[in-house]
Amino acid sequence: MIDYIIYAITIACVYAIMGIMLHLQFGLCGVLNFGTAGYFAIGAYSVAILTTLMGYPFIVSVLVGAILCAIVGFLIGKPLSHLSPDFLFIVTLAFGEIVRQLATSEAWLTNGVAGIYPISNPLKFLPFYDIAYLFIVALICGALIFYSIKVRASPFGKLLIGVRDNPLISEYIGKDVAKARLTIFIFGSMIIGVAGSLYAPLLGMVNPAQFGPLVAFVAFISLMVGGKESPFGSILGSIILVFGIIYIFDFLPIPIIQDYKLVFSSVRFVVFGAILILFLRFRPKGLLKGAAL
Amino acid sequence: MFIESLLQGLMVTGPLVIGAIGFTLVFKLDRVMNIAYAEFMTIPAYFLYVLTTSGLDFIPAFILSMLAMGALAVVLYWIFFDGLIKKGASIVTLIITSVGLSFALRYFFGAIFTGAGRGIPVSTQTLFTIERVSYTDLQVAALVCTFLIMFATHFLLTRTKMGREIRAVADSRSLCAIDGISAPRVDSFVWLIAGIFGGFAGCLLATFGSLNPNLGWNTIIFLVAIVVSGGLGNVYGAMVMGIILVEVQTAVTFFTSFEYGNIVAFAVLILTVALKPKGILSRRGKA
Amino acid sequence: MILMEGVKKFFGGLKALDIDRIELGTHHVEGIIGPNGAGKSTLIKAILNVDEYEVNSGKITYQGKNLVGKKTWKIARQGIVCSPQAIQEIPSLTVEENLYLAVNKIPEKLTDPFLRTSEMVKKESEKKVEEVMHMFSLDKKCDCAGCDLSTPEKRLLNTARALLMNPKILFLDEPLAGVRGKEREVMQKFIKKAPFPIVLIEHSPDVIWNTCDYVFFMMAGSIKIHGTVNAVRKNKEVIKQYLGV
Repeated sequence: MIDYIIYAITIACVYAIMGIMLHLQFGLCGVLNFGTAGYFAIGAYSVAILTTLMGYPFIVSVLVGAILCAIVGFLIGKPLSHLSPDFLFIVTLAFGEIVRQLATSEAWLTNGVAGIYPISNPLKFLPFYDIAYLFIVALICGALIFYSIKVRASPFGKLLIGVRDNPLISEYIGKDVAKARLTIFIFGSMIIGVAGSLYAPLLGMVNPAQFGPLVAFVAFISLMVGGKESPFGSILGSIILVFGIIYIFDFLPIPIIQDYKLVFSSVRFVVFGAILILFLRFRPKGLLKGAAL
Repeated sequence: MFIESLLQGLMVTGPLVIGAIGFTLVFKLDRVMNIAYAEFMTIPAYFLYVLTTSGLDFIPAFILSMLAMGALAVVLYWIFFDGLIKKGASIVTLIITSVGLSFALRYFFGAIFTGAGRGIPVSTQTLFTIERVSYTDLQVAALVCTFLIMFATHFLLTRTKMGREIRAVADSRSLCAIDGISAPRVDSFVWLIAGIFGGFAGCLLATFGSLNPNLGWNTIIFLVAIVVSGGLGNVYGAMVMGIILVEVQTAVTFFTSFEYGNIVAFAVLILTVALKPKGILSRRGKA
Repeated sequence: MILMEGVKKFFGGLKALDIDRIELGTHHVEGIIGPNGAGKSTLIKAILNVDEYEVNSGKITYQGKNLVGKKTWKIARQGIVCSPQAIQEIPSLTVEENLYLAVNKIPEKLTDPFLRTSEMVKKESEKKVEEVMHMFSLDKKCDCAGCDLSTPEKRLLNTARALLMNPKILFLDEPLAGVRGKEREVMQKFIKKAPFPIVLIEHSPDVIWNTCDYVFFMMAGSIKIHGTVNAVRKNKEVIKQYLGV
C-alpha cells in the first residue's frame, strides 16, 4: 500500500509539472497549447529509446528529450506566435496526434504499438529508490511552483499577462508580443518533455496509446477547474478530478460501480466534458481564481 | 493501377471534403473552431449503424442519419454556442467549449457502443473493374453525390437568398438586424447544413471503413489540414484543397503506407501556417 | 517628422485612405478633425502598421526611415507612440503595474525572477512613474486593477502610459471623450505643455481651436484642408459645406 502511495504522489508531481507549464502558457499568457501529449511523448520516448534500448545515462536522455522539445516547439511555435488562438489550438492539437501516429508507425524506432519496456528507475541502485525518486521529482515540481510565483511578480510575468489580456495595447507599448508567446511556448514544451522523461520510469513502459488526446484534455480540465491563474490550480484540479474521481472509483468496493467499471471509465469523461463546459460558463477562472497569490 | 487507385481514393475519402465544407461553413459564420465536428461525423455513423442493423434499408437509413445529425447540430448550437456568441465570448472560450463537447460526445457513444469496431451492413455490387481495381456501385454513388453536394453548396452561396444572408451575417452580425436578416434563422440553417454534411461524410467513411467512437477524431489532422490550407472560412478553398489533399493522401498511401498520408497532411498544415496562413490560395501572406 | 506620400489603403473594395502628401509632427500640437468614418483613426493605425492596417501603396517615413511593413512594437520603440481610441487597459494588472510595463525599456526575459529585474526596473523608473501618476491623479488608485477604474480614469491611464514611453511624437485618439471636470483640465494642460509634438484626434471643435496650432481636416480618407488653426477656422464655411450642414 505504501508503495502505491509513493507511486501515486510521484505521478501526481509529474502531472503537476505539466499543469504548471500549462498555467504559465495558458493561464498567464493565453497560449492555448493542446499538444501537451506530443511533448510528453517525446520526453518519454527519449528515455525509452536512449536509456533502455541504447544504454545512455538517464540524464542524457532527459537532456536530449528537452532539447528536441525545444527545437520542435520553436519550429511549430514560431509561425504560430503571430497568429490567433484558433491556429495555435488546431496546430498543436494536430501535433499531439501526429507524434502519437509517428510513435505507432515508426516501429523501427519506437517498437510501434507494442511499446518499449521495461524502463527501469534510474535510481534503482539505491536502497529506497522510489522514495529518492519521489524526492527528486517533488523537488523539481516545487522549484517550478516557486518559479511560477516569482514570475508573476516579475516584469516578464507582467508582460505575459499583458499579452494575454490585450496583445494590441502590448504592441502599442513596444512589447514584442510574438516573442513573448514563443518564449513561453518553447520553455513550456521543454519542461513538459522533462515531465515525460520522469514519467517513463514510473510506468515502466511507453506505448503510443498513453499519449492520446486524453492527456491534453485531462491536463486542461484540471487546470480550468483548479484555476488557470494560480500555480496551484492544476494541482488542485488534478486532486479533485484525477485522484478524486478516477482513483477513488477504481478502488471503492461498492459492487455496482465495479460491475459497470468499463462503462464508467467512458462515462467519467462525459462528466469531465460537462464539468469543463460548466466551469467555462460559470467559473472561468476556476476554483482558485488566482487567489493563491 | 495508380490512376485507378487515385479515382477510388477520391470515391472513398472524398466525402471527408464535404465534412470539411461543413466545418468551414460554421467557422465562416460564427468564427467557431468547432472541434466537436469530429463527433458530427461519428454520431450519424452510429445512427446509420443502429438503423441498418435494425433492418432498415441503407439509403433511407443514410438519409435519416444525415437529417438526424442536422437536427442534433442545431440543438447543440443553441444549447452550447449561441449564448456564448451573443455575449461576445472570446475565441478561446468557444474553442474550449467545443473541446469539452467533443470529449463528452465521443465518450458518451463510447460508453454505449464500446470501442470495438463495427461494420455497416450494406450490400454492394461491383460495377466495373479497371486494371484490377474494382469499383462498387456505392463508391460511384458516393463520388457523384460528393460532387453534387459541392455544386449545391456553390449554388446555395451564390444564387440563393439564404446564401446572401449567410455571407451578410458572416461579415457583420450586428448590421444584419437592420437589414431585416434574421441571424438566428441563418445560424440554425448553417448548423443544420453542417450536421447534414457531417452525416454524409461520417456515414460514408464508416461504410467504406469501420465504425468506432474515434471515427471522426481520427480524421481530425486531415480535416484541419484541409480547412487551414484552404483558408479558414473559405468554402471554395476547402473544396479545392480537400480534393488535392485527398488525392495526395491516396498517392502517398499507394506508394508507402497509410500513416504517412496523415504525416504529409500535417506537413502541409505546418507549411501553410508558416508561409501562407490565410490559405495556400490566398493572395496576402499575413493572416 | 512623419512623412506620408501617396498612401492608399483599401479594405476589400472600400478605399479607407488616400493621402497625397502630409507631414506630421512639425508643429507643437496638430489636430485631425473630420466626420465619423473619415479615416482619422485609420491614418494612425496605418502609421503604426497595426494588424490588418498595412497600407497598400505609398511611403511612410519617420525622419527618413521607412515605417511601412515594420512591426508595430518596433515602431513604438522608435518613439512613435499612440494612445488609441478604444479604452485599452490591461485589466488584470494594477494601474501601477500597467505603467511600469510601459516604462520599462529593459527587455523582459524568462530569467527575470533570478536576475532581480523587477528591482532594477523599479530603481530606474520609480521617480518617473510616480511623477506621471501624480500628474494624472492616478496615485490614489495605483493599486486598483486596470478594470476597476472609471472610463475617464482609464483614458488618463492610456495617456499616462503613452507618456511614460518617452515619445518623440505622440498620437492621441480622442483622449478627452467622456472626460470632464478636473481630469479634462489635466489632460489639456498636459497636451499644451508636452515637450514633444502631439497629434490629436478630437471630435469637439472647441478643444481643437483651443489646443492646436495646426489642423488637418479629413473626409472620406483624404486630407481636404490643412493649415494653421486660424486659417482653418476662417475656412469654417468650407468645412460646413463639405459636411453638408
